[in-house]
Amino acid sequence: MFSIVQRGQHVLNHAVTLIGILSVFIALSSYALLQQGGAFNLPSTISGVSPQATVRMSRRFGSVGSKEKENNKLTFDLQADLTPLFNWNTKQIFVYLTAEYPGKSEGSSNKVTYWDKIITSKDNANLTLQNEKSKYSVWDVEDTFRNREATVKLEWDIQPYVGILISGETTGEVDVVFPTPPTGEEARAEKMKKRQQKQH
Amino acid sequence: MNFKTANIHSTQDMRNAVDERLPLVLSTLGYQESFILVDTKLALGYLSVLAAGGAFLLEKKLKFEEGLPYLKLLLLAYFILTSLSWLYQKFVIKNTIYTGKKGKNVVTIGGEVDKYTPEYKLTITVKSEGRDAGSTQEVVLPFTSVFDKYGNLHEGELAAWIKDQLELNEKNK
Amino acid sequence: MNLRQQLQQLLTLLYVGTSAYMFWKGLSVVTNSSSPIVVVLSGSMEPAFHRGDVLLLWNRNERSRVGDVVVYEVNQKAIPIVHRVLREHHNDKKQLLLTKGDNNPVDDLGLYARGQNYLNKDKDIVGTVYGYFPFVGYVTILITENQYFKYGLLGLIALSSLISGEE
Repeated sequence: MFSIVQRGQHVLNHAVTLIGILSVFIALSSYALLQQGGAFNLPSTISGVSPQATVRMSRRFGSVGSKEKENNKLTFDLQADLTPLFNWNTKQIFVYLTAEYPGKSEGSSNKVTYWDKIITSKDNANLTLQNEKSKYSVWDVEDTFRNREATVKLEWDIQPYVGILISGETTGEVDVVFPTPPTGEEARAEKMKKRQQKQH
Repeated sequence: MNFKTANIHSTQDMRNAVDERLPLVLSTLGYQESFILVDTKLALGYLSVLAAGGAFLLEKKLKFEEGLPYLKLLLLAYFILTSLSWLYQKFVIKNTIYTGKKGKNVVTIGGEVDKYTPEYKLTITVKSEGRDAGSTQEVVLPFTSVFDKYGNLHEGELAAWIKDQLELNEKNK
Repeated sequence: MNLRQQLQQLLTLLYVGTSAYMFWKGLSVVTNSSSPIVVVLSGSMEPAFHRGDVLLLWNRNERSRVGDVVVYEVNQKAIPIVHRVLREHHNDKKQLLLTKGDNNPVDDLGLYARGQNYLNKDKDIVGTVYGYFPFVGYVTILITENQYFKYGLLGLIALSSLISGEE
């Protein structure tokens, strides 16, 4: 009995050490594979980026105390081949479209996500999207976007089976200007137009 | 007479039995055990436990950011205390099993065994209190001379053997 | 003498516990996170994370990035949440974050405290996930959630200590 406990402890110690060394090896080799495949310089084409602004007044859309809060969404075209991101240690890729724009004061900046997707297999990793609608309605910390200019990029995060989470971005980038949201009247006119279009 | 029994097939077991009875044996020879080595090690050990306890209390009382500087101090204290304890064991205690004195003589006995040989390699140091130098002799105690076939430790034999070693030591001074 | 022996034996036992605890605390100091290793408790980040997966956290980064997976607590409440940063807004003094679980349909606005519209990086974020081990943490979930497992494990430990104590 005595020696069984001792032997058990020995086995456990060896197992833990082995797992530790294996993990380090896995992490290093996954990173090397990615580097080799040019993962950190993947090209992408983002085009046809068309932002639409609306004004919202519920907390769900960032409004505080029912004050008007400017929201916007994008439609966009996207072409990106993310297959080099898949290796034996890639469980999934989280890919997302971001827009980065300056803030009010010196040294301030903002970054938002309009759209994201989870890709779990290499077969689905070559993205070609047209007129894709953004998933999220985005608002700023300020009440309006003040027609600022944003840089839109496609970024990715690799979720490994074991090891270090690695992230990066693709090379494509597009600048976009936040449009002025429609006034109350313009918004109502727009809604009427849409309703009429549906009826036809 | 209560015998301490050990497994005669395990040198470690027999060694443990001798270590346990050695203080008793030496007291019959007139020696008084000195606990300074054990006590110092215990003190260092329990102080480190206190440091860990302090860290635990800290977690309960303060938020992480607030408690961080104190935690760093306690971690440092813990590290220092456990290092000191390790160093003390390695360089001061070494393989000492017993240390005691009779009159002006201080006796220190250290020992080690190897798994395959049924004998105890002992280092007996005798020195006069106050003087730095002492005489050291390395002797070998065969377990067979103090354990019977049932594994009983005969303390009388052990006492006699040690007495002989000490007298030899006296003569050689 | 018997007291000393008992104290020594007790110390050996305590040493196992305290060294493990202090190692955990040391890790906490190095990563600057109150909880440097966490076990995933919910399925809100599937298929990336599943219940029982183990996450390693780092908290020495000054700012979080969009796309990072972070662990945060709302008003220092007990249950930490592991979600991804959807949006960030910062100036040179602070950073505000909006998070969302990959497997949730909407962002975390509904999870934050009343009147709280963003997370504050310095105050609310426990750490950013940098490392991942699947499954290994499921044991801790079983221990806390499954009564049979908990008492079974305790019984096993008690039994094994009785057996080895007989020597």
